[in-house]
Amino acid sequence: MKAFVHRVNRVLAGFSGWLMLAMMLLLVADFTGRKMDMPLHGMAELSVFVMMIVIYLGFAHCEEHKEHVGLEIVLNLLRPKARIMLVAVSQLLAVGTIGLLFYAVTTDAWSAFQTKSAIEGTVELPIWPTKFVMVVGMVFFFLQGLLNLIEAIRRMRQDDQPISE
Amino acid sequence: MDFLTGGILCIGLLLITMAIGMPIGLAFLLGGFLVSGLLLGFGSSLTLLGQAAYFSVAAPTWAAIPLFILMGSFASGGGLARRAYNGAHAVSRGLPGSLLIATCLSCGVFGAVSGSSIATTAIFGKMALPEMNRLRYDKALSVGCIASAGTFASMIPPSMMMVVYALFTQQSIGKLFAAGILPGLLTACVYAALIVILVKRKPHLAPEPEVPAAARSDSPPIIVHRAREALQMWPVIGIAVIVLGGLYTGWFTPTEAAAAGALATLGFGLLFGEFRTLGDVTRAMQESANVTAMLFLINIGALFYSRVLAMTRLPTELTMMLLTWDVPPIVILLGIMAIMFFLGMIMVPIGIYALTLPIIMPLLTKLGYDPIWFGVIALKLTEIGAITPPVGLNVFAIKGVIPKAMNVSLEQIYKGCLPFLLCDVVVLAILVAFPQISLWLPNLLLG
Repeated sequence: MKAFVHRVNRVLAGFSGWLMLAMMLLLVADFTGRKMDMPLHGMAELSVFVMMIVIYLGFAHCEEHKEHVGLEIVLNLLRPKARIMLVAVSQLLAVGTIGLLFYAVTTDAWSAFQTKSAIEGTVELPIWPTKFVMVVGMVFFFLQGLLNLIEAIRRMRQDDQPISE
Repeated sequence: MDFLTGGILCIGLLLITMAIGMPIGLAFLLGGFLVSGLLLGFGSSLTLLGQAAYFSVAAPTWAAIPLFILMGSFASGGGLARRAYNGAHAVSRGLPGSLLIATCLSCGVFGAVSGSSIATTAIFGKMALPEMNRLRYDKALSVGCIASAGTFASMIPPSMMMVVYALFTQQSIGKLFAAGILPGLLTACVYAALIVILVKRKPHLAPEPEVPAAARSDSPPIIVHRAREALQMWPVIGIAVIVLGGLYTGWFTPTEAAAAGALATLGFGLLFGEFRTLGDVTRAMQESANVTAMLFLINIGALFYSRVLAMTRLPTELTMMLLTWDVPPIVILLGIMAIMFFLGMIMVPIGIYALTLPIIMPLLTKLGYDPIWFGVIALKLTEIGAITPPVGLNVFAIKGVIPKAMNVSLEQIYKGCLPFLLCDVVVLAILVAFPQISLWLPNLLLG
């Protein structure tokens, strides 16, 4: 499970990197077309979709490598045992919050699909596919959060065991 | 529960969850969700959260942030920092502490293509520190100088934090960029002056290398040689002209300027052969995608939290209460600055903005302070926070790239930052006393 999630995280992060390039090219194409009196419609909107995908697909990789910024000043003041316990508590709350966000994003994506929600303009762009990609990102963010929680609990239990000779 | 109590609870929950080490973005989300749930019901709160997860950042202007991050990554991998450093060293050679001054100047120049002070610190740490160490420069002063000069990337446009400030406060990105130019240059000049004074008084801090007799006089060929070296900076200046020139002539929106800048930076990296393999490019892209995800979790959380806080009317009530206080506005401003200074010591800038701006911005505007000018002040305060203990992000960044053999402790780095920190405080006082320094250029360029 762990290896699978990590592999998917790596793939999603690599894909996100390429999407950054796509986002740049979409915007360059947009203003180049405009300056040449050949406007390409919907490019700016597409770049926003791509940005949303980059953001949500990247969450899990950041969680895996503990790149989501948190305050450590209080933790550093504590004794090791208390610190390990507090890390587990904060990870539990983090997983709970990721779960809430996951649920909220999924419900919102489903509702966007049912209402065929779209950006109106010269080109009508449906929003729901982007929202479902966001859901995929949230699935792996949640799974990675769970893995980190298990790891934190394991450390806490290890710390509780008496040191054998 | 009444709405005001909800507002107080919202702040309390945020502080507690952040204190126990929860990721800041998730702490914002949890605090906002619980309070909106208590006030509106958990069903409505979930709907609000689901919408905020998409619509709070799904706008073309927000796309400027990832693209500026991408531009910075391409610039780091594309050898532009090296060019800026060599060029600046050609300009500063002969001055006392020339490598330190070159670091200050090149961080300023490199700031024009990189909006991240942490990345700038790490790059210049890797590049300038070995040379300073070889010439037996004082270790604490060297690392302190690099960590402090790294903060220029936040002030000199294009700055990622300025884009964040602009989006949080609904201000013009172009005006904020212009507002940062003179304060950034002023800080660089003050740093350079400090280095000259320090090294003149204590030459052992930065011993200059023996110059060969033939090269001692400034004969025309040497001047030509130095000018040629200084001209190495042209790609960096070229990118700055594309981004800022395009923005101020109305050719580009901020997002398009960022895309054009990223493309130009990638182009230069390929042209100069710094990106040798596809892996070099993909690494830069993946790194920027990671930073984007990390940053936007905070943005999404912060914007949801701000919305909930605004719903509780706490910021409005607080503004009304403080407006009735019989104290001069400057006292309130100094109080706000003290809070931001304190927060800067323990928190990342984006967290400080998200926590404070929804509350203080209505108050400052009512008191007659210019939001563009305050953007510069807020940025300066968070820059100072990057080199002060206990959470000095630039100090951590430089610590991460110092070779183990140099044996420099965190305490030594903080000690090395101290003279520059004092300079920053002086510059901050000047910026508060003379808002025209920040506002002259944006008013000139954008009215």
